[in-house]
Amino acid sequence: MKTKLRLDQVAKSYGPVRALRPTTLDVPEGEFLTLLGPSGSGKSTLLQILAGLTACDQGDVWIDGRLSTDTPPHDRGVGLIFQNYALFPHLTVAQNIAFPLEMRRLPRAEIDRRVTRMLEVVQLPHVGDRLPRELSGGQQQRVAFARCSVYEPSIILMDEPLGALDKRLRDDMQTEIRRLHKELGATILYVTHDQEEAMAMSDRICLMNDGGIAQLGTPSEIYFRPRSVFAAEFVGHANFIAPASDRANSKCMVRPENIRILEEAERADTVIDAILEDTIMLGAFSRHVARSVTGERLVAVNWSEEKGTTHRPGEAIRLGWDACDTVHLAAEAGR
Amino acid sequence: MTVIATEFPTTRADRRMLARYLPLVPAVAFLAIVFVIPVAQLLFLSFFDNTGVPTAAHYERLVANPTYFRVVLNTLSYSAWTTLFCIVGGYPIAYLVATISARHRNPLLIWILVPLWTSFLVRVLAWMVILGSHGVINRTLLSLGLIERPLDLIYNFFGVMVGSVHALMPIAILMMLSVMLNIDRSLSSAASTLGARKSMAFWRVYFPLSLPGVAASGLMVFVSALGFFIAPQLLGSPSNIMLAQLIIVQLEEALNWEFAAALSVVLLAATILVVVVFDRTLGLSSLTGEVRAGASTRKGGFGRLPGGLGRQLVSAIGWGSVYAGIFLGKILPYRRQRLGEERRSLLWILGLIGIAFLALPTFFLIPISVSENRFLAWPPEGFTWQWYQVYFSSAVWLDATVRSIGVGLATAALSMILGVPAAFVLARQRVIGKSVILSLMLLPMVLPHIIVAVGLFYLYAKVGLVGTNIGLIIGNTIFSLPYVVITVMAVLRNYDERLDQAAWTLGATRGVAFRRITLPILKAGMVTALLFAFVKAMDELAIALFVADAGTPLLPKQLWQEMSYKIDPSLAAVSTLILVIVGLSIAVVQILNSFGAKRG
Repeated sequence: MKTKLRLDQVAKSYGPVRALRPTTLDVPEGEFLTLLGPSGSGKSTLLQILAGLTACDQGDVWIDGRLSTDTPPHDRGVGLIFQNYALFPHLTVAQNIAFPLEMRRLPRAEIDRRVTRMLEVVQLPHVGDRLPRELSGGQQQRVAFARCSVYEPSIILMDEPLGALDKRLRDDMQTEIRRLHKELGATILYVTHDQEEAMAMSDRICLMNDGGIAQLGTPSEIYFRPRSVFAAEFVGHANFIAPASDRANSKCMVRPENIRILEEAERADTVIDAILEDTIMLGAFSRHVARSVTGERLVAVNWSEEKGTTHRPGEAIRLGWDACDTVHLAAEAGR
Repeated sequence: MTVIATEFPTTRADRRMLARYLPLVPAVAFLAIVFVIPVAQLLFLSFFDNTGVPTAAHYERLVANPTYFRVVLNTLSYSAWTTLFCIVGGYPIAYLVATISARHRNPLLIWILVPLWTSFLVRVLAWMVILGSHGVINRTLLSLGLIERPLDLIYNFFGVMVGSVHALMPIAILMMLSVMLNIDRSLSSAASTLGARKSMAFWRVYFPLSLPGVAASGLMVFVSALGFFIAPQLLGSPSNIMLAQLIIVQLEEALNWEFAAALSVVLLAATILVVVVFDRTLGLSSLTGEVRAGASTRKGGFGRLPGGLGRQLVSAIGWGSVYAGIFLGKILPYRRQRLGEERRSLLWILGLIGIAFLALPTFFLIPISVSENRFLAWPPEGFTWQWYQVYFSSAVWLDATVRSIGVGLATAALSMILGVPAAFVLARQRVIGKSVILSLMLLPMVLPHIIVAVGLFYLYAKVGLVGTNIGLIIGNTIFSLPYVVITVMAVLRNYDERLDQAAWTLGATRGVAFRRITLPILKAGMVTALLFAFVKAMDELAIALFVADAGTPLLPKQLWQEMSYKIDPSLAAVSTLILVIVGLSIAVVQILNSFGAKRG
């Protein structure tokens, strides 16, 4: 598949602060790639460099096979959706969406046609004459998306676009953005610090930490096969267990869903004796917190049962999992 | 490879760094040539006699004669009193405006700003009408039988104070307001839930947080008052003159330039001393409203008061007002107060009196301008257009009006051309030496205008610009520039830069984004800056006095001369016309703005 976007050893410092270590990344056409990481991990810097709003100190950016490192933002053909949407307050919704087309000197009739179609795509056909401040947060979000995709940019960058919305609206918009992604066949680079959002939406996740890429892979790779302690901890919950004696310089990790509370005679590849401390009903799942005899805190998540578990807090239990669910993590050098 | 890796970024960064400074260059160069150098030259002059031989004679004369020492003391005490009255009178107004709902805030603010938009000379004339022995106050009290002889309200300390406080209080209010609006309202609520009564919450929480604003406006008023000469000259006693007046006397009557320069040095030294002391204790950034509420916790200023003395003082005032409130509540008729209802009638009374004091005086000139009585006496008698006829049949007045408007417009344009790019850089970019550059831009606002005007005259005399329109425009721009820079910076602080970035990523070049997005959104603020520059230039007397010659009449100069020698209602007619000109230009701008907003 064609490569839409290529970063080659791109780096950026603000004075003594290393905001982005030399980073290399390829994004194929049509992919939904999420940059996921805590604040200060370099994901916003990376986005700014891609949009051309910040110049990188070294390295090169290739967009659509063109060397674009020093291309000004208006020539990049990259769409950027801001966290606060940055809709122009003095222009109507239709004028906002028409803006990028006017910049490209399209004929008026074509502009009107495309704006009307775009408003339909984002399911807001009647708000063209309104000012942005007269719309709800979710509607503003859709207008921002419409404005950004109406000129069919080669890649759409989204900077925590759902951060300002409440939980329910956020879930709706996640679905909506997925739908628009498929419908328009756009390549999307999405920035978030919310791991659930990243899991829900992405084809691939680029996990960032400390100004560099910690791990790049599909959501399930990142979740089930993390390659570092950071990756294991940042995405989902991680149970760390003392490694077997022959691999003393590594760590072992098991996801809570893979740990079972063993019945009387049940067997498993790995078994640990523990005391159950608490059970929390979360709806579909229940979370069991236990402490092993060697003092480690272990969390197991299993399907809830209506009658509740037969085990009470303070009771001795046996926890077990299959060998293939144990993930060996390399000890992190220099940290 | 490593060489490339380290060198490449630095060159890129260097190029960007230099480009950032570019928009600052015109404004800085302008001020260096027509402001810094002339003032420095003037001060230099004080160390020479009239044949060019170095001497300290002027300073010896200054020290030897106790009269001059008295003038210096006089000036300082006059400034101190002006400051005190502006703060004490302005604080309740600023507090009222800061704590009412945003919907009510703007109408009040407009009335507070009325004096700022009105010519200073016009305001002084209004006070003559109000305070004079035949004036509004005396005639009213006489007719009510409350007094038997007219009170001496003018040509003494009282008159000067009224004129000066009226001139400077709006600035004091605005500077206090900018700090007060940044104070989190929930802090006072928090204090209440922690057990503080309303007045205690005010004195222990709100008041200390507002102190940076009080300090900043105090500095501004004090330093401005040091250079005042209009109010002391026209409303004060001739036997009790200020430093700036003494400088004018030395220049115009004694023609002793070197001694005038020595006096200027004294005035400047006093100004700089005050500014430095202020900067050491509180920091100059509060002048541009950048002070954060937390700045008061900085080591220095009020934090330096020994052993929490300041806190104890404030606490004592707090308890005092709590008990006063309880006492008043006992003796006043009992009215049940609902929860959340605030008793603010006293604040409203104080605030409205203050706003009336600021806004109303100039309107007394309108009836006087059509009165048949030729001595500005109150109440107006009959009705006549003759004073307007005097104006319209006078070639000098008409010439002065046309020239003032022309110079004012050109000044406004030049100030915008120089000031807007500079304000953009200062508000948005991280540049080295920002505070120095900003101080340079704002310096003309606080320096006595007379010093700058005299220095400029000296420079102009050498290059033949005295009495030329270009000379006047340059001179006025020195003083209009700070207003443009401050206004545009304030507007930019509320502007979300991401809108520009959005425009760029959507395909707009920097130029197009500026024209289509930045400018339309900032339009109202830009126009305000332009108007400010225009009004200031129309009103600038020091430049008109020293840079214009006899052949170039200007409105402020003409008003000043006539007010100094003969006062008749034709001055009221001219003042009314000036009010109409300024009022009309504000109205036109407002209409254009609202029209543009509807269309957009």
